Amino acid sequence: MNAYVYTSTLRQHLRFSRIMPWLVLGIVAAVMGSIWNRLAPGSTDIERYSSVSTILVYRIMALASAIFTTTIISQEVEQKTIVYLLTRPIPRWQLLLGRYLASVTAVAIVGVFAAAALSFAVFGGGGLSNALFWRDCTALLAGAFAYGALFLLISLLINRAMIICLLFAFGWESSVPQMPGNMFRLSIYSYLQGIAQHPRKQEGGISQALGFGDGLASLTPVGSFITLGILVVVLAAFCMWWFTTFEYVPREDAE
Amino acid sequence: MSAPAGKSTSPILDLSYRSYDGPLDPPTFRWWAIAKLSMRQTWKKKGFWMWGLASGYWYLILMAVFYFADQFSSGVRNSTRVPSGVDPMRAFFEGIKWDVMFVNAFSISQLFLFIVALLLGSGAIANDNRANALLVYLSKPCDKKDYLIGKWVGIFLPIVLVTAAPTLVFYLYCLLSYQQYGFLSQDGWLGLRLLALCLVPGVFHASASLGISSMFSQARLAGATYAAVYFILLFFTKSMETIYRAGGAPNIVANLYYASVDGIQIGLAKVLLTTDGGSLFPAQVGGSMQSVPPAPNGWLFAAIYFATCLGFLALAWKRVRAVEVVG
Amino acid sequence: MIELTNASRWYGQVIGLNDVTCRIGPGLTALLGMNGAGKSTLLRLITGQIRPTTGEIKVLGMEPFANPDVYRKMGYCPEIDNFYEHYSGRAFVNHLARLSGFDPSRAKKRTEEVLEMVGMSDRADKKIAGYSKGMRQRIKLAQAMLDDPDIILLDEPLNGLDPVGRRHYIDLLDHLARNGKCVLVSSHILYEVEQMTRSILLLHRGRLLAEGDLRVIRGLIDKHPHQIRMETDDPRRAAALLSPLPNVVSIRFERDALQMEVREPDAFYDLLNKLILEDGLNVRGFSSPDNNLESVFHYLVEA
Repeated sequence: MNAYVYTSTLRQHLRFSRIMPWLVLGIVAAVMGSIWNRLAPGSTDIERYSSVSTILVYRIMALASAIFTTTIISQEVEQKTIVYLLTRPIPRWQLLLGRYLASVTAVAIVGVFAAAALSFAVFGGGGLSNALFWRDCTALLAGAFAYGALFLLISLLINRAMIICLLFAFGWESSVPQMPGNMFRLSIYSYLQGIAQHPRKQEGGISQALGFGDGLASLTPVGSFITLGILVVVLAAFCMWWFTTFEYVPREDAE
Repeated sequence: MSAPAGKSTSPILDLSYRSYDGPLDPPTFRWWAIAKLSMRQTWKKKGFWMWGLASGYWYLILMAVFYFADQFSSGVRNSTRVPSGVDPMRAFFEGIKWDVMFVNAFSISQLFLFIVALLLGSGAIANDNRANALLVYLSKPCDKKDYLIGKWVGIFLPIVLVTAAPTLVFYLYCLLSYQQYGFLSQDGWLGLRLLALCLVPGVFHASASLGISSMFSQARLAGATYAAVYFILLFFTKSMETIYRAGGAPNIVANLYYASVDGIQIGLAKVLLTTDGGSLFPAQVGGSMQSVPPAPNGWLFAAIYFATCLGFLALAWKRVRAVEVVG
Repeated sequence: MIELTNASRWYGQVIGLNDVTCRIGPGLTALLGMNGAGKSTLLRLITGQIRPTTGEIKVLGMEPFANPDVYRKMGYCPEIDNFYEHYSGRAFVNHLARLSGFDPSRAKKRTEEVLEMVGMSDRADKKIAGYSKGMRQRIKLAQAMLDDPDIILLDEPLNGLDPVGRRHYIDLLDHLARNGKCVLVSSHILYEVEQMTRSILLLHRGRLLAEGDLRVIRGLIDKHPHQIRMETDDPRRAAALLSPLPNVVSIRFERDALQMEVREPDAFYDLLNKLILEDGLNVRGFSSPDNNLESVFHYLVEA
């Protein structure tokens, strides 16, 4: 495979001007973690970490995924540089796969940085030896793949992909896990929490307010990995087939 | 055609500057031309109508609930098998705080209004940056002020329309149907307060959209930035609300509840309607109001709201320049 | 090298290209047409960005859509003026070379070669955002030539170039065509196309109106007699000698010249020679105002 596609795209994503806002958000998460005690007195370090991680870190990762993934193709089409890519002697599926993997890597870096910053802020020097942090890193990496595959599909199919991706990340992913029955199984976030295994707060607390329904306890890490793995493979394969089969020409309108 | 006597016969015509001496619209209407153009594009967008109509869905639910409750109550009252004077829904209706209904519906509509603002506002200046249209605008007898006011009004008016339409329809419906349940007597000024309330999202989103859009030359990035700010702050304030409800939280938590795009508007809504907000149907939770952060200090909060809006507009003012954007 | 067989392309209800059949071989061919004629659609079909709705397109015997084997032998210089603006010209060309599969050292070497070819070696380290239009056009051509392709397609390549730049660009294209490459240039700057080549493809409203040598096409347009302007000291005597000729359709007097319309100009020229030599017809100057691409274009489009 043309590894240059991956490395050049990753280099673009990690340009300082692009990555800096995300680093700032990671630091915001750390600041939130360190002042959380003043907002919710009596919470333990684990609860502080879990709450801020749930409120911010996973949302940062989802937001980063929406923004980075939509640049894979949508941005190229909008700025009309896609014609240079499509007329290179490289199979389209390789082009898409390389760029997808690069965006997953960038999103994972953003998410892990935010989690690491939070962990250091809450646990101090023992930030990196905390099992919850490492489970979060695993979940964030899985989330980068899963959200990336889904958002890539949306950006290939729909013009205004960004809005749809953001509504999914913040609307669907917040409300569906709280729905009765097995609706939570339709949310990627549920499986990420199945991998991360954050401790649950009492009924009516932040856990419930922010998306932890009753069913999440039934999701095991292995089951969550398998489900997300199947989702990623199926979606990514479909995206590569779609991109190879259908046309992409620069849009004439500005919006 | 021969040249008039005494005039030069040179093929090169007189190139000295000549002032335009035809009719001119007064300066006050230049911004309106820009606003009209923006709005004409807005009416064509399906997304605007879809999300705009969706923003009023809670009012529809309320109307349906009240209608059927009233029908049930009326049916019971007219029944010969029930002792006269029994009205099971009376307590339900009398327990309703009408201003709280409007605050709650306003809160629920915030996400949809934000989406409308994204659709209308994220490309307002960014697209002009990309197309170098600012060079065209500002080379006409149209200055930065006209341009920004026109763009602002072009976003403000459609958002006010989608906010006001369901609000005022619901107000009218309740005014005509539920006066016996204290609709007018609870607050005689509610109508005027609601008119002021309808302006709140328009002013904020128009200002914020313009400020953020002016920073980019791609509508997508401007929209992503505004969305990032909106959602991250939303989750932060949601957690503040939960902490507040859990009890024992310091006072700052109640104020931090309003530190978001939604929160600042909901806070001002509470100030305008002079209510702290509350549960949707208090009768169903045993008559007690679920604890919600109280309304913020009115004058201070209004000052913060307007300062935020002016801050965004100042950013747009600084960024709008007739400079060619390359790439 | 490029074959279209009954190729049509619809955009919804609008027809972009309508039942076009043609073959384009080595050499420099100009693709002409008004705005909206279908030139860009044709180029997009050949470059495999879009598929034909009906019909067939073959480039080097292969279907071009999403076909890397075709792209290895084809270079495309699009009309769009969009780049990765934060790259320098050198970095941009090098980036595309790497995407084409070149290893780093070969990509660097080839980048220098193509930049030298287009005359951008000394200016390629500036960011593209600061380039003039001409420099941007050269960078586009440079990236199109990376693979030393057999087919080079250029969409409006002369747009924005100054006269010196245009001359240099045309010479470069001519050099490529003489080396056996198939160079297809889309343009509507007719007098410049005329300087480049006589081989044209003329599109109008999606249809192929004419294909081949310009002079031959002009000769075949019977509906419009050829215009000939003859300068002479004695126009009346000249008119008296010329009017009996069967090819002469009309004669109009100008001050020291005759403006004529003739059919079958070659036969007319043979007869004219006789008149000059045997009857002493005095001719000071001679020109054919409509024996050019612009006239051919207008005659065909009006038809």
